[in-house]
Amino acid sequence: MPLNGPQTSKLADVIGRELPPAALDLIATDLGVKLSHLLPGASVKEWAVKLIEELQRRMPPEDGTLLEVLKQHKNQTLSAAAHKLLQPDFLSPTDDPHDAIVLGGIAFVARDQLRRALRMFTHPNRFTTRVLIVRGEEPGGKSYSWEFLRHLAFASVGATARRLPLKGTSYSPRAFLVQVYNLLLLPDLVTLPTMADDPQLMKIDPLMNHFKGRLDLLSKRYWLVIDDLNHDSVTPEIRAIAYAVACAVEELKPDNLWVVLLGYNTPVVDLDLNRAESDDAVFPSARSVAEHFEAVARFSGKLFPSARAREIADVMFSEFPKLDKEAMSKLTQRVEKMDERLRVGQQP
Amino acid sequence: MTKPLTLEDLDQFLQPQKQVDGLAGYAAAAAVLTAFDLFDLQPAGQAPVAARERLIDGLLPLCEPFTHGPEVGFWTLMLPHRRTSLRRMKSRKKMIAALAANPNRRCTTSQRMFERVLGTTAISMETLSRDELVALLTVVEWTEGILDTLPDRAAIKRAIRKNDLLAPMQRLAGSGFVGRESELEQISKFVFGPKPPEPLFVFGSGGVGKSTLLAHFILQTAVPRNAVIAYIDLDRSTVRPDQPATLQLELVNQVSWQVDISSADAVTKEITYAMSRVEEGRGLESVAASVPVPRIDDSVRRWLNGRTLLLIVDTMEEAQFLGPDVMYPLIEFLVDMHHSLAEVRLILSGRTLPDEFMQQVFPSVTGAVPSGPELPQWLEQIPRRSRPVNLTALEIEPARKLLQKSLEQGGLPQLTNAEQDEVIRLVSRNPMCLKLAARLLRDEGIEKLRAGDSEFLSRLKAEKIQALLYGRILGHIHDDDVCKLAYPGLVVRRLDPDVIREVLAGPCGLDLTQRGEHTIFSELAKEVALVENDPGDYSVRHRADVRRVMLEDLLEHVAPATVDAIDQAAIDFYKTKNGPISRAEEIYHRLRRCEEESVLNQRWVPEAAARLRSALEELPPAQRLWLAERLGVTLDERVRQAADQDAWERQAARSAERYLRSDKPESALMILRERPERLPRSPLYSLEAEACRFLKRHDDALRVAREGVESAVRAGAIDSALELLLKMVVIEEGRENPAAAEILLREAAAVASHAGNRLLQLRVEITGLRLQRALRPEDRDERAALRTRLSIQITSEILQEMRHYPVLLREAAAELGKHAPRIAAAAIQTLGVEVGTDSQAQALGRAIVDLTSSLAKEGFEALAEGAKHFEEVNYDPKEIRNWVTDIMTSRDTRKLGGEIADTAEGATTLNAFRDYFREGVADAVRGIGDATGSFRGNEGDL
Repeated sequence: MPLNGPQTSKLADVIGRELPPAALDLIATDLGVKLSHLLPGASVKEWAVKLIEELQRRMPPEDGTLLEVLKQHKNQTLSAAAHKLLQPDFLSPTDDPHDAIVLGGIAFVARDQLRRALRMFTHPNRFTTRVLIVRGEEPGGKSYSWEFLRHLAFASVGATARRLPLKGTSYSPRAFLVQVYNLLLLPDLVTLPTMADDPQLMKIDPLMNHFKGRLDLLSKRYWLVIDDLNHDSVTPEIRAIAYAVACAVEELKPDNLWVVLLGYNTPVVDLDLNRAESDDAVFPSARSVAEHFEAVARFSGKLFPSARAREIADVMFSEFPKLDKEAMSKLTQRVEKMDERLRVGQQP
Repeated sequence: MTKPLTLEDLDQFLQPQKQVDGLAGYAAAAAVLTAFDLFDLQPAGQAPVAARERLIDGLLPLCEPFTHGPEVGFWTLMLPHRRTSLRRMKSRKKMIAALAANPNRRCTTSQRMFERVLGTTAISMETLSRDELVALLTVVEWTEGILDTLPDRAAIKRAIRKNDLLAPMQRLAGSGFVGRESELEQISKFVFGPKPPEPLFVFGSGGVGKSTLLAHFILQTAVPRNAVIAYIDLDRSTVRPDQPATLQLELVNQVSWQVDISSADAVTKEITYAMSRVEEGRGLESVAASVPVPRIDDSVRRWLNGRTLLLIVDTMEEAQFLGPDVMYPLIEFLVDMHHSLAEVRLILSGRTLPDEFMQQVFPSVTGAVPSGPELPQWLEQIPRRSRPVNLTALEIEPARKLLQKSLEQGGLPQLTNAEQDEVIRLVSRNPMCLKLAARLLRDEGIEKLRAGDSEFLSRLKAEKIQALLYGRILGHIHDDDVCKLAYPGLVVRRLDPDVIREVLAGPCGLDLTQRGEHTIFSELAKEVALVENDPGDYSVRHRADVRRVMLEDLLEHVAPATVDAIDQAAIDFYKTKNGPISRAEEIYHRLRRCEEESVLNQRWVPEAAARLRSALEELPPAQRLWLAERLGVTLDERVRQAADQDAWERQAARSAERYLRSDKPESALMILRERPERLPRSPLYSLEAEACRFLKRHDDALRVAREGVESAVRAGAIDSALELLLKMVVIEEGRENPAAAEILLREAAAVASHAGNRLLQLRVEITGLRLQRALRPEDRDERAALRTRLSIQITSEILQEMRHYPVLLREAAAELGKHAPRIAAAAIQTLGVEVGTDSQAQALGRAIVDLTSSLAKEGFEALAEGAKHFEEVNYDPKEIRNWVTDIMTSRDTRKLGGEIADTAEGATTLNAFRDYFREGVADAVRGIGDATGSFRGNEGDL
């Protein structure tokens, strides 16, 4: 969570078809949203979108709570739709969640090093790292890693993955840590120290000491995924505190917390963290996309020749003279649509 | 023949989401908006208004939500759909027209920048804030290739980095800088005049304005004159004074974007891997295959291309705090950089002028740095061009100006000259005191000064204004309590209502029925300038600088018995509580009372260390020594000599280890030989043997190690004995005496059977394999069996543990890597690639050629190109070394490790890697690795 546009649209559609207005109004009221005040006279579908918007405004976003409510609903269509969004099914050629290539409707191509590195998270011992650093300046699916982490955390060790996106946030170091506390449901936020405005006194040590002091209080297992660290809107101070959070977790190795830094491209100076697992997110190659298609097609039981898979991948790549963010986004959409077809045995 | 597949065919097959009719106007409207409300959005142009449900079906799937910030709950069009719509509009004119559809759009920074890009006025990046620059970058991403005359993306990124570098300096020096003309002139000549051979040191007490002076110089002079700036603050968590390589990393990080190089990754990779190769206790083998601090001069020189690099290292007192064994190598490293790069001007800054700096930079100036009035005259021995800048209080006129500026910033009216002089007379001409005085005037009102309010003046009048300000806060609570709490109260470092009640109320004679502890505490907690929030709970901590000056005078105002009663009450209070905060405070008060070491040891927990760091300098020598040991700090020789044997050994061990890591075996030996006695389990035997080994005094090394073995065996310290025996084995190997090494190894193997350390046992077996290869190469079957057994023994958990022992990992890769590629992969991922000697570089070249010749994988292009180059240059080691240090990235290194991990066990492509690791081990054992060889003497040296 939060739900993206396509997910919101689909869920609103299902709610619009399956629930009468009064039932949705009741659910919304229980969640503290008065739809009839916010959007009088609107359809159930519109109300559904409005409700999701309102829940996403909360910190942490609470659209997941709506899904939990819907999952328990006696209407099976509604319940199934919510369940699918909460815990997407996955396709793995080996049934091992580490090898998953499709997560719900999301294609997850290649990334062998990421999969290998995450085995340290899912098979921990006292020497394995608690930190994974995913590097990469160019578009390479760094943030897509989040989807895989969310899947693997749940499917492998029953952990909850929490994502802290940083793009465009303008957090101060303290505000950043407030978000961390909120996401991990850490106690004593009210005593989190303030910071001086004098640049010579702006030390994050007191903040980090407070954080370290609460790590043992985590009651369930979390993977904290700090995203967008390479984005230009993220200031050096925020990169520094994200790094400090990772160092603290690696140093103390609490029972219930693992940390992933997505897009952290700064050199690591801490020796312990230097031994943390690293992954380089790079633009997938036509070859890896072709291999992905072949693997997905196998689930339909129909033969899909390698040469044809490669031809399709090459055609998809031919559109992009430059492998930039727009290309990545378009390619991803096509690959996911192709996956949908291949899974049911349709081939071009 | 089958018709070739086209993109159109494919899209036909995939049936892309059908455009919901009539939504193009909405998509166009959304494309020119940063954020929109789905329920308010109006279509662009003449498009008809659509039902909201159709927007939910057609437009919403093209959007993503804002998940944070003021736009949370709003939607934004995803990049490809935005660009598709903008492409359709093509021109600024049409985009401006689309904007008109939603006149009440949200005025975000990105929205404003987008509209500026649509305008005709050129955008000057110098005038933009950081947020605006970031927004501009986003907008360029939307419109690149669609609109013309857009700002250059790389230039925007550079402007952001520049902002990041200079913003803290602007906050520091932007509005409160006055005077210091002669200092600025000296710095300017130092940086832009003919290069003096010595670096410049700026020193002065806390609050005198060192960082402000340097920030002002950077902003007003260095940046306008196009100097490249590297400002390294030793107080930052990313810099470690005891690891000069971390300063290199910071330098490269700051310099790379200013000199417009595409990537400094190859250089940073060399630095970070060099740091990972150090294994405690195996100093020589750690540094043999590479230098402890890689040289980056050539790269930096190339990047600078003639521009001046102003390198400032601030807060040098952080390094001084750690001890001379940190300070000396750090100064040496920095001075070396100043000397070896003509473009570099190095300025150091700290609270005092360190002896280590004077000894290295001005060896002809004799004697310790004096303090007090003779200092200025003493400094005159040094040539003016690089004479250390002694920053003292401001002259009277700048002091007036600063006070006036500070008052203006606080919104206060002008003071008369007489009033200004009165304040300056009262608080001194220290810039920080003047700023604090301005704050006091702001808080209390200028009228009190004008009315000659005696109470106010008496508060302002103290020589130490911080101390007075402390008293002022308590004075607001209750007059009688002020005297009682202000002075003895700061015996405790940490205050909360419980401490006021349980610790202070009794000894201070407070009557809490009049004003409760919560009232006193809550008033105190508001004064963030004087107390800091304690991270642990609802408590506050006295600011260290305020407390320090107050403590100096404590016994002049307070009876010793009262102070002692507070200490005892604090101990009683904290000893029943759990957690590092309570332990730290309890230990602090026990240290103040000079309690027995055995008591202190019993109460010690490592988590308390961070909270006791600031206490070090206020303790008497014996207590300081005890605490220094636990903080990882080495103290000067005088304090060390006063210590008992156990404490001395711990201090000496730390210091010697640091000197060895910095390639200073002579200094290590001097420390170790301060005392000839050794405790039974002394770590000093090993360090002394290691220092002798560095100096090629092998017989001495063996003798010391043997003494250590005997001592350890007598004390039942089996692991220590084993470690020393293994050191002896390596020493014999190093002087190419494998037969003697094998005899020692047999002794080690006998001891190993009783040892508890599994890695030491493993090391015995790996060393055995290596020796057997040298002595009995024909015994292949025996070795094969042993290799198989060891490969099974090294579980993934042990392999993870071995990553903390890089020398052992290299040795394991050399013996087992071919048959257990995961070990070779772990070695590459931990150690990086090493090209210390020609033979090692050539072995690496061959290994990469062999590996890539069997690979046709994507993503290995860089390695394949390297391999091609190696063959073309006939494995010239210099070329291979250059490629590794200048071209091969950390990503290439990780890829190489990943590929080795995926290679089949025993594959012939791993032969060359095995040979490469063996070269590394041989170099490490013989101690003949690096290109400079500076740390190794000749047999018979000294």
